[in-house]
Amino acid sequence: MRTALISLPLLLVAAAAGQPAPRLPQPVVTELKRLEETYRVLDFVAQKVWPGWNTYRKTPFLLDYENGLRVLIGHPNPPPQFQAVPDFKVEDKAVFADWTAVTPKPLLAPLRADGGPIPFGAGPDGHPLEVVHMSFRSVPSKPSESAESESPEALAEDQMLVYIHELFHCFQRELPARRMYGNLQYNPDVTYAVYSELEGLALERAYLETDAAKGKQFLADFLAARRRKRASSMNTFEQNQESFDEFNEGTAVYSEFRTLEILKAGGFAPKLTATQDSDYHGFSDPDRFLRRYPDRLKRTAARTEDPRSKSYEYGCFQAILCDRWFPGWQSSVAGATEFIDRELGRRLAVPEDEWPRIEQRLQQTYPFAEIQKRHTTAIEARDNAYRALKARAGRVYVIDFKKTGQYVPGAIAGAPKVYRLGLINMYPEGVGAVKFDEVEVTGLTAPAEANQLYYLRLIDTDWRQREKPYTLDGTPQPDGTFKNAVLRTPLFTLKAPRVRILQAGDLVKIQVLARVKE
Amino acid sequence: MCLLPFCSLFFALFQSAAQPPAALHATVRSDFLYLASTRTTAAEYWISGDKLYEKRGEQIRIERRDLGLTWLIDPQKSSYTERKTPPDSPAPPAAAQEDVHTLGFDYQPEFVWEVKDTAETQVLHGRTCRLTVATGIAEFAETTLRLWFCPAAREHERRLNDVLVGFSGIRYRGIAGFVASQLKQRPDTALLLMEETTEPPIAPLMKRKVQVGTLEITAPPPGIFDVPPGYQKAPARP
Repeated sequence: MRTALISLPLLLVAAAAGQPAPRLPQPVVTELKRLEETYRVLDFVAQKVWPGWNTYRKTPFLLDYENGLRVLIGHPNPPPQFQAVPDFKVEDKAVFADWTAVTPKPLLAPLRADGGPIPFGAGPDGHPLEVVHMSFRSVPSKPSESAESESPEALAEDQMLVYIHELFHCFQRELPARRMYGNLQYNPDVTYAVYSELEGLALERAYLETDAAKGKQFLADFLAARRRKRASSMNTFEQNQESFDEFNEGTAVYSEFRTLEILKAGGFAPKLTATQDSDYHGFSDPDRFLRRYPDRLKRTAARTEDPRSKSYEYGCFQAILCDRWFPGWQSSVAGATEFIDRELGRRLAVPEDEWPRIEQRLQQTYPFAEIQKRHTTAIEARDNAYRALKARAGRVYVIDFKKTGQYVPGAIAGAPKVYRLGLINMYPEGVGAVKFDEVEVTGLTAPAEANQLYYLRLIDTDWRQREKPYTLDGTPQPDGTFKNAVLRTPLFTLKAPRVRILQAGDLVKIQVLARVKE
Repeated sequence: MCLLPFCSLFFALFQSAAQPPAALHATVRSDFLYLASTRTTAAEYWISGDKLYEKRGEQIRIERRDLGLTWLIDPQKSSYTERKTPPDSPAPPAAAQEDVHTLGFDYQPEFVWEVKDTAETQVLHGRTCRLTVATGIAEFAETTLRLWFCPAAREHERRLNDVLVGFSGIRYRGIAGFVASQLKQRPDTALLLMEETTEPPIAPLMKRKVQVGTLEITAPPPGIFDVPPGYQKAPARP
């Protein structure tokens, strides 16, 4: 593991004195080189990925690091706290950095980022300007429970594929007259989960099938499972959201997949060298990355919870199969048919009286009973966990990690059971511990929920027996916060570099304000 | 005792008896600071009794409670749509049955409020307005409101309070409901300036400032509370 340390006192003194900003840390410099290489990759592939995709240099980037450093690339009108980084550009784009909130947390490579387009600042016309926002985080040595497939490996190519994915989202907004439906917000019932898995299995079979006629039969299976699923479990709005997500996320994943296929065909000459970035191999082995996509499809299909996460792979494989059998599909979905599944339906044109027979085939040629049993068990357990959590009453403790930027599920390792409903992760047998940097919450054996990404919520049902809701050791600060805090409650012990306690009614809210000592 | 704004409003209304009825004319501006950019929106209002005219950009809405109707006017197409205006205090909806399909997505904070009526004042539109600071703490959100309550003329400005809260675009029902409840507790006040700072559960900090610009009692332009002549009725969107 390589380490880049930023000296905080030096930064603050420099900023306060109006001196030139310090140099960008090496992991940031490396990332900017990767961005340049991404543009070169896109010059080579973009028109073959999607006709007309040539605006990928237009959108600025905002890179956000766990130590508070923010870097803005190519923004025409950076907000005042961003200082120009002298003698550094990404191609011809100016680079700016905001050092004002930097903490002593070291930037440890490898880092990994995800994000998406957001409005940030304003353009020259005064209107909010869209940027690609990327949040970088340290790659855990062990995968957390929230990232079932996350590998501690962090190849440069992976990050470049993320940039391509996000830039494709920017391109999608340029497509003519696309209606907006919003993201799918939906918790599955058993019927949904069963037929959703059948959809995924049918897509996988179609992908593996080389015979076009047989492959199209599997696509009809996919559509039959979808019809059945939607008829019994979803309203029209939710159906449109699902198809909308599959277009948005699916074609963005498809842009990654097609990039790799085009690079595999040869002819691309990398310019970023191993000396500049030892984690970059010039896409010399695209199969290494391509193999992951069908693997993800299979894994995603079997998932009971979080239907929206399926849109990435389901949309991607619908697009891949359209490429294979339905040329011209891209202009069609960018216009009249709007959704990929609708385009598939139009191209397959299955007669109405055929559907009952196809639906019967689903039950006969797929492991229907096993799938149904598995999802029934999972959904019953989820609903029981919800009822048990909801029945708890008493003093509410909320640990708020938002100021640290830490997603709670990403900092939990080893919780015995977790179930998900919307943005609630439920831990009926407790969380165990939450740990990141110099923050630690231990003793979490009571049922708990992680909610709205940043918050851990617990209820003390025996609170009437307690004299005090908590005890706190720490150094009080003039702003009402406590440094080097150790907070003990009947349900957990929290150690954190800085906290604030808010109390209102039966609520005790503990805001964790820093990841490391300042 | 007759507070100056009340008196002037009273006389304005009295004098206008022989003329077209006077109306409240107001402009409202909202500055929303989010993700390093400020989005400004503005609206113009005419309010007279049960009639309300609102213009936001090119969009015009006319609310006629006397007729139980609302018209949305599209000047570009010379057309309008019509829908029934909901009553002032609709019956509270029956508690919706929990649907597992949608649980856990839509978080609406339930704030516990601490309200401080401060001694701080400022003069807005010739009236001495007093600052109330309200802090709301919820499980996954916090908010601070700075509300400048000013002496008001009941008949017209109560409606202006309503439209101001509606216009502000406040994201959470709990905040809008709290402001409405404060106004209800202070029936002789108008809210002429409101500042909101909200830390939502996931998104970055939001700051909003909503203020009344023009505020006058005057004769409205003729026909302002009616569909312009010659406009065609278009089917309302479902």
